Amino acid sequence: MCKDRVIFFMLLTLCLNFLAAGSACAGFGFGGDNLGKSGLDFSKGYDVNTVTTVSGSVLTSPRTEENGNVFVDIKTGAGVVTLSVGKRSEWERKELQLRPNDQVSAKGSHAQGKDGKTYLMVQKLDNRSSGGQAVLRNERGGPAWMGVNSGGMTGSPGGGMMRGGGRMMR
Amino acid sequence: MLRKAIISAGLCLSLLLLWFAAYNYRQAGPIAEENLRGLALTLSAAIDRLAVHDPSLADLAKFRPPDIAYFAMIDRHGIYRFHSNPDLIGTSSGDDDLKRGFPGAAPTEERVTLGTGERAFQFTTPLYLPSETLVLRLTLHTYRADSVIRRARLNTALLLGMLGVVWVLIAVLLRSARREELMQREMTRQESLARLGVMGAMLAHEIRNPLAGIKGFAQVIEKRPAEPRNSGFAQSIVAEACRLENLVTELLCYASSEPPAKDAFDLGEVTNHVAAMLSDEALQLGVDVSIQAAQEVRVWGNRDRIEQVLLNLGKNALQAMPEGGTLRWSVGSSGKSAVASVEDSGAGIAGHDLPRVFEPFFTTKARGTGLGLALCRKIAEEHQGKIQLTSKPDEGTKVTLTLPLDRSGTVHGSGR
Repeated sequence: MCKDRVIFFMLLTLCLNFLAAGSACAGFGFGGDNLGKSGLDFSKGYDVNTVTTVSGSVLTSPRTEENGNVFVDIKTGAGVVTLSVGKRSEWERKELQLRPNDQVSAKGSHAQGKDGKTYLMVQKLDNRSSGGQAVLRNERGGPAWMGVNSGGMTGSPGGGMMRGGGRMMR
Repeated sequence: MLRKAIISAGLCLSLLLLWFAAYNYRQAGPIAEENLRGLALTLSAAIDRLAVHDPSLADLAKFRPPDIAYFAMIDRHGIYRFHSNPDLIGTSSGDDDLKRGFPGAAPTEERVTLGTGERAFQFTTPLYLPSETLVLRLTLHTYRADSVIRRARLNTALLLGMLGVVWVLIAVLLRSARREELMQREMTRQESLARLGVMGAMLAHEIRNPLAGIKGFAQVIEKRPAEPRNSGFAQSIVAEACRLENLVTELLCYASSEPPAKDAFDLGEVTNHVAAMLSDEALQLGVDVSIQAAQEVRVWGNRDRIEQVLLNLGKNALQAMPEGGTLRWSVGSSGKSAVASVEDSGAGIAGHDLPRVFEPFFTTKARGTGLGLALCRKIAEEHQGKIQLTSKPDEGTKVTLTLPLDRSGTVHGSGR
């Protein structure tokens, strides 16, 4: 009887474990890596092919999320875009104030996350309401928080800058 | 039988559902690719029209559907003639593959990971403009198209989860049903025991006392018969009276609900004692007796009752070997239990009789009471032990008695 009980609880544990794994999978495959639920590399990622400029009004104050990166939502004509403005320490060092309803213009590499949101890895941010400006990456996407020579400046892939269509998967 | 059929049907249904889930999941990938291919072809056609109408390609800068990550047109020399990032127009694409060979008429497609970490769908196709042929590289976001894959994954996870829950519930229900069945069986047995108890009490009162008188008078007649031939008749009366007395005693013992007084004792010593009691009978039947007993296998129980069990088992074994054979006694321990076994090389028990050997009044002997093994099982269970019997016709029978060891019991090996 005791053996039966042990087997029953083992079976139950296995099933619960499986259900937990199932729930994780049911989350559209998010959270399976260290890149966060968006699946994007906000620390080093950048792609010059997808560079664009967006303008809009700030919806939320800057917040820290995935891997210590700071994000700000802005409302543009094409919908809500989440600006990734780099690591918290670097962002605070820039001393650029962003308040809700501020009109901003941002240039950077845009990407769509696995969560369906549109992100912009900001290279340059301009707060037209306050007149402040911050350069967060060099022209080729090398992030300031990764060092002076980061990114494409030395030809190294430190900034994750990509030309020619990105890394092939197959 | 019904339970096995239900479980088999459940397994078949589960396998069918698993196959369906796997099939559905495997189909989702190609459907997503097909959606992306269709979208890419539509967008390529739109870009082609814009490029034909405006050879300067200036109008393309305003063409920014939300599904496009970026798009570019590259000439034979690998130079961007147009790029959705205007800073790259006129620069080299750095695509060595393109320099080596301009693509043919057939478009190509693949999944790529962009520098941002995003996984995208890249579609490359030649673009035949009036003045020249360019390569269109169109890279699309995949989130919307991959919704088919996500939905399939969710459905599969839900289906597997539900299957798991259903099987856990089935296991719980089966376990409950099994326990209930065992409880009902036990209740039935207890009820029959109670009935036997009432009957036993009646027998003790109504039969035992007159039987003692019959036996006594028959013994007197046996010693001083009026006629010499009456001595034989009296002997028969005494023998039958003894048999009936024995039956009543066994029945009373079986029906008794009084818990036995318990104490620690050495099971090996009891086994040796029983073997010694049966040695004369074994010698007469030509049975070789061997004992393998560990020293100091101390159990907690009623010594007399356990001795009665071993005596019953030993007698049964000898009765199964009327023309000689081998009788093996062994005593040892296994985990927290003491194990005594009696093994004979006798006639064995037919397979169809095995499930009934412990039932009261079931016997294969012409003059058996059918209470011996039933009594053995009752005594074993009274001691929180169990008794098991294995037998093969013409090979012999082995009965194993398992009892809980006394907490301070020790075991040292020895053989005789």
